Amino acid sequence: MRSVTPTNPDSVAIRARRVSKRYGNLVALKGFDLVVPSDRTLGIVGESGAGKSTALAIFAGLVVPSEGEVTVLGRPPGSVPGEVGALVGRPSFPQNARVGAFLEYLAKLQLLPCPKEEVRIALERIGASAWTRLRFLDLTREKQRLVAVAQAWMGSPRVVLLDGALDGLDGRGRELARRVLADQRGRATILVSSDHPDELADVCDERTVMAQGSIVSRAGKDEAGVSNEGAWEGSLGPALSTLA
Amino acid sequence: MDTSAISARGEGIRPWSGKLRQAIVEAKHGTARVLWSARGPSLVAVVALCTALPALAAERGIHTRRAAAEDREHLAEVVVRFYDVDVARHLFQCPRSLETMVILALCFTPIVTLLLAYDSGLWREGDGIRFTAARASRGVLVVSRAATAWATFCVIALAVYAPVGLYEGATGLSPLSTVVTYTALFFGATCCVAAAYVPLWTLVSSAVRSTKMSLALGGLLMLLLAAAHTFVHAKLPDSRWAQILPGSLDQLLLSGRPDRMMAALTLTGGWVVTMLGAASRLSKRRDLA
Repeated sequence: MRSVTPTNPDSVAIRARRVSKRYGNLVALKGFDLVVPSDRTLGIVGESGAGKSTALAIFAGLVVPSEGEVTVLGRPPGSVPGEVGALVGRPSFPQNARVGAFLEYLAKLQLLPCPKEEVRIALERIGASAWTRLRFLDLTREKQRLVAVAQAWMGSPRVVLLDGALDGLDGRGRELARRVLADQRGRATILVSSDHPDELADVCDERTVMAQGSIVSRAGKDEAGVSNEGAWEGSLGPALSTLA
Repeated sequence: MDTSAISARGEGIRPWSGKLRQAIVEAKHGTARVLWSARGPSLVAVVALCTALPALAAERGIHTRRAAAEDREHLAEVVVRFYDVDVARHLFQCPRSLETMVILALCFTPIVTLLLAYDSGLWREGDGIRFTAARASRGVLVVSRAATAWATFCVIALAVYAPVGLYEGATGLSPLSTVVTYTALFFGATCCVAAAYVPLWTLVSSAVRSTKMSLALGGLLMLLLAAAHTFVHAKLPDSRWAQILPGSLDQLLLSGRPDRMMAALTLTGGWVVTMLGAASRLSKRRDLA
């Protein structure tokens, strides 16, 4: 197993040190440590309840850690709005709002100079240019999920956090979301989580396995990003078996 | 698909100016959403029924000078039960319908502001909060949501004051300049009192976890403030310190004296900064996922 650790501290996009999160008696994260270099795509896998969503929610500034230290782009999470695109958990859109109008409002809130153009590009990415005038209640849950994926990329943020980005999507939606991931790979620091270990194999530079609120394993490809799936899977084997 | 031409993240924008722009975007979006939803029009209708309609109806039944004089005296007696003599004297000089209007409007201001702002500090999933919270700081969201509630209140107040002012001007019973001056003054006073209440409800909603709790706690606080107002008026009529509460600011605003009105504006500013500062701090500790 080869863990990719940056030598230049400036190239670190996300750093978490001994982070814990408790919800009452439930411990969602404990002693969580992670360093993610800039412009790398990191997959976080683990079964439901492993702490993936909590970790991403902390990086997005949506959840406050109980203990530990977290920085995103060198600053506390939530203090770099506009630099971070996020899809955490299963967020819902205001159902009466029109898709285009709501995304334009988000783009304006992000202080993007050309909100309409950003919305056009975001919807085009997921093959949904015709949805602009539709209300969210006119879209199936799956289509809403695709829009949620698309909004995370608006404004080309430097960090993109996608919690279960491929969950709840059918074949075509999954393919579109994967294509977006592949297109943007190397242009931003991307953290994407999934319950299924194999799902992220071909779209990530590294994979981290979580269980019971901690990282149990981390494996990466070589510096050139050449797929070395056999060795990768081999190195993950023992860690993945702990999830069974 | 070329995205390189688009400069992202508002680069080059100073932090305070960016936050101000974000607050304006959020407030405009929120105000439009409330006014186009069921809440906005229904509140306009209820407030109009409870304030403008009685104000206009009361004047229509008065046909003689004597009846008008008796009516004003009766109204003045009612006013001194709630306000000091300066206020009663000042209100006595203004057109009858506007006097009734401002008294009723100020009575309903706490409840209307509570109905507009009870959820301003709550983070509800259906509002798309996880999308907005990733783009703007919690402080910006709290302030802009309070601004939304206040701006919506001002629109509602304008919608009920304008017909009364127009009616009073059309009857020609008072000089047009007097009607315009008093309509503007009373509208401003009502909006100022609302500006003191809205941050309070925002703070309350930031401290609880559900809309029901927010409404219940807000309602309780509203009753306490009304009781404090009544107590202060009855037992401490000369105490200026007692007039710092939102429920007592109208004593200063309706006095007709510039120094006391300025004091009310300053106190309102103090309330806004203190309450929204506290609400912002509370919201930063809250989990959204």
